[in-house]
Amino acid sequence: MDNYNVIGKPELRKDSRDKVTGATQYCCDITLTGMLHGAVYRSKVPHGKIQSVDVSGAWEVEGVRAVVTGKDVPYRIGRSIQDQTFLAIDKVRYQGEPIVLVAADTLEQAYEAVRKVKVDIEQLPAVNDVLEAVEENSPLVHEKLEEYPHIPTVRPVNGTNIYDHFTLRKGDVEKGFAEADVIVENEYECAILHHAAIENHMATAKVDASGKITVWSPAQSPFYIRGELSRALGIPENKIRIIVPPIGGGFGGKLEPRAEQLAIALAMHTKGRPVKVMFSREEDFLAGTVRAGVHFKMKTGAKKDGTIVAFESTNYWDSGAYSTISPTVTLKANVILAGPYEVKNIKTDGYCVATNKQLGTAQRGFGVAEASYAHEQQMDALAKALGMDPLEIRMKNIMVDGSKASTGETLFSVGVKECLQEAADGIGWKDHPISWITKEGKIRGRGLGTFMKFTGTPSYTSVTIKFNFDGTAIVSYSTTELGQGVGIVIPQIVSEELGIPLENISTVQVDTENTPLDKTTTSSRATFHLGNAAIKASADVKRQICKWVAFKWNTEENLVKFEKGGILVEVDAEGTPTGRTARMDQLDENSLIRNGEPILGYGSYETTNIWHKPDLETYQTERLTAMWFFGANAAEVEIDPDTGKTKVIKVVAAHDIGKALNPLGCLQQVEGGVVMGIGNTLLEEFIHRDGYLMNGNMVDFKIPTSMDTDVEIEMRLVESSPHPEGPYGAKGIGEPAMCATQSAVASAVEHALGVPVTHVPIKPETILEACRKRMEESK
Amino acid sequence: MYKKEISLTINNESYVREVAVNRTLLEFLREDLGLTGAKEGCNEGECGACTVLVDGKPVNSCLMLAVEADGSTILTIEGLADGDKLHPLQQAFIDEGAVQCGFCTPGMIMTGKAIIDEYGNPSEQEIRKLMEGNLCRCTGYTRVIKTVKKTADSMVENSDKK
Repeated sequence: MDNYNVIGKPELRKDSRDKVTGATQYCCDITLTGMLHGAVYRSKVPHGKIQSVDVSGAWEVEGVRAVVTGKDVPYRIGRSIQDQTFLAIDKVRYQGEPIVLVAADTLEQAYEAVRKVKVDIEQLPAVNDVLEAVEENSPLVHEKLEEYPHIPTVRPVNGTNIYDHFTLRKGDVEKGFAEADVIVENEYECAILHHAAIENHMATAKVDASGKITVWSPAQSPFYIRGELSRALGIPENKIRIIVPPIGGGFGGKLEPRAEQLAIALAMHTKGRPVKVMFSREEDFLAGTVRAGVHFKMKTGAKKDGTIVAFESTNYWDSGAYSTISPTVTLKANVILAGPYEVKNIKTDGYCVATNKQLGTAQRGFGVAEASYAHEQQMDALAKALGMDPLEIRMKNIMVDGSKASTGETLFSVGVKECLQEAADGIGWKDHPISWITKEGKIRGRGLGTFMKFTGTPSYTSVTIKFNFDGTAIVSYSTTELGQGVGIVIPQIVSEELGIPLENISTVQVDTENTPLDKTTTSSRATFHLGNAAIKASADVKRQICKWVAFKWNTEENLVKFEKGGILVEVDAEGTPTGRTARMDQLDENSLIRNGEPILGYGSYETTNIWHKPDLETYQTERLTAMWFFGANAAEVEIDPDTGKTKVIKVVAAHDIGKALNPLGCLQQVEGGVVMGIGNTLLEEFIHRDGYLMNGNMVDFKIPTSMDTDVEIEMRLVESSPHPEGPYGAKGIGEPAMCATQSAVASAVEHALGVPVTHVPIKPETILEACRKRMEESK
Repeated sequence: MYKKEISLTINNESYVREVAVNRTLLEFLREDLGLTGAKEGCNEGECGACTVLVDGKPVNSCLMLAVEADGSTILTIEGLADGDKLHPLQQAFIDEGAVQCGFCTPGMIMTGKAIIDEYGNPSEQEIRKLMEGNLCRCTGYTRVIKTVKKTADSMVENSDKK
């Protein structure tokens, strides 16, 4: 039975007071002495050869201090493939690609100078469609993809638009299909969409006379960006400092360097004056990053009793003009594309594809929400083909402890069956049909969605704790605060471990020069990885405190024990308490540590030791990840057959959380995730024509408002499968929060209409068409 | 750019400034006066992150020119608390967990205050409608709407007692 003081309690986050008073200084709020304002000339066309760049007009504008073109900064970036330069040099590959930069005394002058730039571009045919992009005669986005340096796990296909071809082979898929009594084959697609954090991309950069670069940026993963910039610029990592103020939302969109390299390029030409580059909303849509579109071809075979015997998929990810981290999105989706169901024979081929569109990257789930939608549509299709209940066929195949994943590894800490049951119970699955017509003539439907996802491994992070003489503690780490609440859960862990009050613990602004190494703020990893590091750092603090208290008590270090709740107890050689004790929060009053050796605790956590490198052809491995996440959603929707509008009535979200360290924080994540998932399913879509973005603004790209989200959300945090390696058993929740909402809502729409949902977002016109067909059939 | 002198009251303090006629109220507040609580999210009046109250009415300050605010009384998020004492809505946003990344929060709170001032105690559905112009990507709105409703309820209750 738990017996924690702080862990498991719904503690309020520490940064709220500053946020509700407007005192929080986000990156955009920081102004530096001598600061210049940067503006960007961006390509107006999606694909073309740059014939000439004339910046003479820009220099004539008053207040202009620097004008930078691609040839001035020919540095290459790209996490997977180094296919991107700071600015376009010979060719543009997407609408909005930066070509020229200007820094001026005022933003108005900078914009004026940008208007005076003349760029002559010979337009080329745009690669607009992902399926056409992989055809033999398609124009190429990158003529010589294979010539770029790339990481060994990514395999660009020469002479094509394929950034990477991911393959997974488990068992014998041909044999599996031969055993199947029924086979369902379908195609599904998800539109490109934008993270649409309310804060746009931006960065301010400064270059010292010594060449040291300092950047202020809302970067999710500053050490990742530091590494990219260090390699690109040939500058050692200690000469690049990235300071991360509180971030106004990320969701994966603030992972890639976007404004950072532009601000640096300008700052290298302004003789020490800092330069601020802020993206407008339009620029953020065009030249931030997006969730890639995807086209899935799926084939599933099952026995009469519902046992799935084979699964096969070929899928194409519309990853845009530069590869960024997209190959990892393709990979992560393909690993779990059969869903959290045990399937003996699996074959998937995932193609990460270049088009002349916005840059695909991670978005809250790394492709798992899209994959979940596709595998859950397949489950519904199978249920229909076999005449089974959609819940029953899922339960028949659902993973449990000991199941083998697509990678061949044996899973542990699998709580998805409990989640599915909870979700089904919450929506009243047994008590209602999956579809019915209301008295008002609306069509109701219920659906189910499950997901599984893994956290990126190997990975690493670290924590330091400065323990002050007055008994307060300052905790440093480099996982950034995006709103997810890392700034409360880590202090909770330190409070629990050290036995000091939560209010005595503060955290430090992330800064690559001052806060300790961390791989990334992605993959729902913070609580698990950082939490473990925080426990180790706390242990280090306790060890040092015991040493000093022993010195003061004139006893041996090993005779001072740290007891739960923050009590130091002296024992004799036999281990019997001597009666002398001290409380952690009264060390100073009792003169036990002041003016002693300064106490600085350190703890790190890394997962290289548990990771087994998968075979690149088959992706089979003994262990792929530190942590698998599981969950299930159930949804009820109401469709208006006259307007085609879908209203989500209720979502039940059940998550295999392991242990909720801060239940309030978990619920906040899930509430927000469900609504984001609803937006992804019903509203959000980038519309392109010949590579041009037609709706790159907040009026025409719809995200949910308060009016779209009058939804009953029932959340169940399932703690039946604590993770043996997680802090107090915890797993992550950030991405899981939305990974099964899209699939459950799509499943509910499918059941309501009686036809598969082949495209998300699900548009009213699609629904009207389906309603019309259904009416005709019933005549 | 042609400039014009304007005088206005912001957060109970009076200001007389010369301002370019094309400067938005948001730019004036953030860049000229350093009141950075109101945020730019879209610069086209869609996201509401820049909401301030002009003569008590919520306004997207990115769509209003500073010169249009000449002679008006403006309240921004920085002026909402009474010294150290937070406005009940600010306190409720903290207590109910209605804040995550916080970038939309100043705009949300200013709109919420205007709703309570204008309508007293509207229904949850009315609050949803009235807050439609404030976008949030973190919270899913659930706690935001509940917080405004709960605060309105308690403020009405308190004023009844008086």
